Amino acid sequence: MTRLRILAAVVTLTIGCGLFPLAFETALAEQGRGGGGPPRVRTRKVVLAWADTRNGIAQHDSVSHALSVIERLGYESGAYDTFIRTDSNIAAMEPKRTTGEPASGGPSLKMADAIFFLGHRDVPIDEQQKSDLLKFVRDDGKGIVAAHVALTAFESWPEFGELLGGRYDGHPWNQAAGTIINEGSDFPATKHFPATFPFNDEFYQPKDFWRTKSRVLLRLDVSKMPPNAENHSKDGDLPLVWAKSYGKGRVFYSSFGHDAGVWDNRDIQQMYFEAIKWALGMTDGDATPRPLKPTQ
Amino acid sequence: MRRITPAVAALALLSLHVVVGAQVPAPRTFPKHVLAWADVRNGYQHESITHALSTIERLGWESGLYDTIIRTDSQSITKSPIQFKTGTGIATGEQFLARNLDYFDAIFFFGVREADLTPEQRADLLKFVRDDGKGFVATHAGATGFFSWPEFGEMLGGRFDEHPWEITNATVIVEDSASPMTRHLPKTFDVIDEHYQLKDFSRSKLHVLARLDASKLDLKAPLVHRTDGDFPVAWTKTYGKGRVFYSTLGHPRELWDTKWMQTMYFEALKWAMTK
Repeated sequence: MTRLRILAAVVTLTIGCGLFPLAFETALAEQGRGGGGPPRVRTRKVVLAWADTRNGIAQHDSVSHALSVIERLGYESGAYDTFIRTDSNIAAMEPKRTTGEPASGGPSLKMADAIFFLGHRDVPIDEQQKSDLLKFVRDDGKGIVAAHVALTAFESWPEFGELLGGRYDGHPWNQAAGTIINEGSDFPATKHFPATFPFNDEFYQPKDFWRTKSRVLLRLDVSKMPPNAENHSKDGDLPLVWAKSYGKGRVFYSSFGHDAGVWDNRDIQQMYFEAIKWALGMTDGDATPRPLKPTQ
Repeated sequence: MRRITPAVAALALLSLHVVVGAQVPAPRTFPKHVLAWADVRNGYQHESITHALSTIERLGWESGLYDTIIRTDSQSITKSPIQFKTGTGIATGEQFLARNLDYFDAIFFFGVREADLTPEQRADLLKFVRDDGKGFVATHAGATGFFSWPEFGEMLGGRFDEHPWEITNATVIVEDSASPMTRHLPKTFDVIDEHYQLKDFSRSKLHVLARLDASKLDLKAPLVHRTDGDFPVAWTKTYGKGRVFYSTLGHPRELWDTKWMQTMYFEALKWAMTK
């Protein structure tokens, strides 16, 4: 190790054009991992970016860009390390191989601090995995940040709807321009938004959603949308972004992110980044539920 | 006195605080499509894999050359339509946007060991390169892939044979300074990586772009098996009508942040997608 450090210090690269910003110290810090040596000492939180899209339409081309943006936000800020997975073997305290044998190391719910979830509909996970996922948030106090199509996930699993705080009930206006009302001007993930602002997206309409259980941070101003028979909101409430607790854990959902370009929007990036930090317990935000105030 | 119309108000808001504009933006389109495939379910998920996939995605996105679909499962490895069983949602029986191999122009491969592929999937993967003339760009642990499948080794050009020096500094000798993949590199340079020893490759079947300087390696390390001192670091080859690139470099996550490494893999993808 000492020899290597000295070596690294004296290595002089023959390139003068700045193409070689090799981080020798960090490269050295990688030693001892994966090669059979002692595990790396991890200083960052771990986010599992989990998006099993094998059941269809959510293989939207935006999913990969979203995962990649989430990874970059953590990597460049130093706030967290990300493991991207589009399979579901990873969603377990003790992940298994496709053969059923134990996986050979790597990420698991045991070592993750939060999940960024872009999964979709029902994917086959077993009862143990379901129980592990609930335990991860409820008992271990870890976080989950879910985006857009995640609202359609696990329709056959009631407790998942409880955890997430709502269910998917279509997108009445498809991709459309809307006015967003900010109810979360004190919350880390939404305080950078103005009181109201225009936005284009495929706004999801939630059902099985309770203002007594979740704090709405952003909602769609339904009064400004064209009339639509698929809009099931009776009181004009259409939550798009909310925060809640589930047992000891923190849960955040946002409807934003249908088109890949949305993930390049700095405000949207900041929203998800701050949501992840909040879910990781790195910041605090008030998720106390509150009723709809029509004048808000 | 002018009335402030909603449109003016919206414009004012936009100028104060930029969010997506008032029109529904058209999704970006890309001339090429890359499947960044790293089925890691049956092997160790190297720390760098996610960062590598995400870097490859960003290089395509920012350059506009290609878009990327990242997958750590192997569903896309088929040339048959991907359809859904009853009970999996409203997409029952429909294809929607599930992309199969026919959609892609190249695969960026960072898989590990044995992924769970059916015989049809294996055949389709070979067809993708050999008959369809698509590209296959593999990195680092990609050479540990599919030891149970001889033809995969043929396509890739060689196999992993341990990393006898673990993570260490080594000198790389560039053999081809004309290739777009390596022309930005100096004739020799030092890099810290988990350098691989490769086996089952033949210089008569592939074009080595760079190799390790064997004179500076500890050839008495227990796992060194090669006696000819030939330790390739990057090569190109053809497989039927398709183009294949492999490089051993990519274990340290931070290496993916270097411009020279990004250039090597970006140019490799560009080359592999050239018909």
